[in-house]
Amino acid sequence: MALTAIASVEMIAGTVALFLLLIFLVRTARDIIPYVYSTARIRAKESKLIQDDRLEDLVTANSLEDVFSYLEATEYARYMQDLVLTGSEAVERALLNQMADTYVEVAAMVPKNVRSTFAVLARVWDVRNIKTILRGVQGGLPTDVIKAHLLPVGELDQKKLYDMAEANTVADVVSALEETRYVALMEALPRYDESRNMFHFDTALDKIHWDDTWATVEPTNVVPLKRYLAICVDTTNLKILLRAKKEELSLDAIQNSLITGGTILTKALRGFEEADVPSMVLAFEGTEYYSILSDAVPEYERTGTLIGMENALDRYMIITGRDISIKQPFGIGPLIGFIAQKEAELRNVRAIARGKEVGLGVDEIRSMVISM
Amino acid sequence: MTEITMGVSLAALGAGIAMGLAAIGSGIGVGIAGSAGAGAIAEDPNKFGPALVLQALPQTQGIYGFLGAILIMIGTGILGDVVAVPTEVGIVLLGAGISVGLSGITAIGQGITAASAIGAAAKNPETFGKGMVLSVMSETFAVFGLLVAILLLVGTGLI
Repeated sequence: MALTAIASVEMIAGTVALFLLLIFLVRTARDIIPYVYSTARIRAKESKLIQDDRLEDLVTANSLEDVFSYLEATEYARYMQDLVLTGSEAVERALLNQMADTYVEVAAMVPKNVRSTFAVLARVWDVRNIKTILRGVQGGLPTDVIKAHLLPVGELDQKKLYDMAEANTVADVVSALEETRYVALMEALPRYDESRNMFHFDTALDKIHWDDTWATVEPTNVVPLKRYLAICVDTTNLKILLRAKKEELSLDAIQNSLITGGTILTKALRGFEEADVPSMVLAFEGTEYYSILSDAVPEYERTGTLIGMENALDRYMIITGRDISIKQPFGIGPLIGFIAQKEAELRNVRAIARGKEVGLGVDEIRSMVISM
Repeated sequence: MTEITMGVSLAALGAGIAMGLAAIGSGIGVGIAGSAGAGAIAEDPNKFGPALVLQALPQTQGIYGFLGAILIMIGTGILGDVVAVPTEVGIVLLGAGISVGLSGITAIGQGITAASAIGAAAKNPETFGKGMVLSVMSETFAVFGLLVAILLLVGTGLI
């Protein structure tokens, strides 16, 4: 009798323990399973990235033709056929075409809770296209040339983009966007008319893009994605502020272009009016951006260009993406890391191609490359 | 109809738990590794071989569960002539089944490691062997679980 009672108690305890175990298993599985397929697929895609040793081969290549030959033996091969453009522009076009496909593929792979964020991220192609059209129209380029540089893979379809490319003035291009989410460009038009500086349109477009992206990720609990996008927003804001400071623009002139997200904006705005570029960097002491930017200050003081600082910020964004990928092997990490590495590859190969075309030395080209 | 005693009932419960939990573990583990395999193959069909080998690893816990359950059923004569199993012995056999069954859950961990190894091998084929070694580690605990079950069965004198 006593044994039967013990057996009953053991069975009840065992059932409860099994139930708790099942809950644990379901929760673990729920966190991991949605990302297993995409993680393995991304790892397979990473094997096709141009690794550092191959990148060095490209840096030391004798000519742009050698770069072409190398790329024709990679996954870029099918994007290099039937290109209208020539030279480094053809390389860039192939890189962008492949990158556009990558965004589409990655957006299709991610779980539902972050799909909207990746869909909004893919609108970067609209932003790039609008910037291309605005520059083309401002520079008086023939319509066919502008069209050849467009990549209609975003929300704005080919017809809309081609219509915009046929506009006579920058104001006409902006007017054509009245019915789209880029209507806010109208507000930047008076500032552009005053200065003829594309900076105002660039920042307005970046603001629309990153505000939309940040809005989709802020309500979620996907911490790695939030961290990565916060750095994207921060670096974009920092670039705007540094450029504004260098071009001696007032805070009022750029206030509307700053993205309302990220982690650094409040600190960055403190004392903006009085500071010069080096003292602006000093204001970031205690943040992750201080050491990144302060290392580039001597170059700024020597050359007067912001390229070193902008490169350092881009490098930090890419390295952070890769680090997130390593720290979170299952989850959104590998997807973020892959996008970051792909952006680095695009940037690197484009820099090499342009460098080869204009005859830059190996050391100069190497200094532009972001090692992964 | 043969009379089923409380001891035999508990032993049968143990056999069921041994197979059932190990099957859950293996099923989830193989599923996780298989999903990773599908991802790798989608990019490169040549990765099928390494993916298949790594996906198979979490299956072994299910085999251990099956073996443990069979041993319990043979020991108690459930497969043939039922022997008289005291309730105390039945509880011991239930423990043996739980040992095999719960240790079969390690297949989930193994599946996760195997999935990572598939990803690593897809990125760099040279890591396949190392990934195998890492994935096999979880197996140790499943082997311990089966060993404890066998020792319990030997201890009760049923096998």
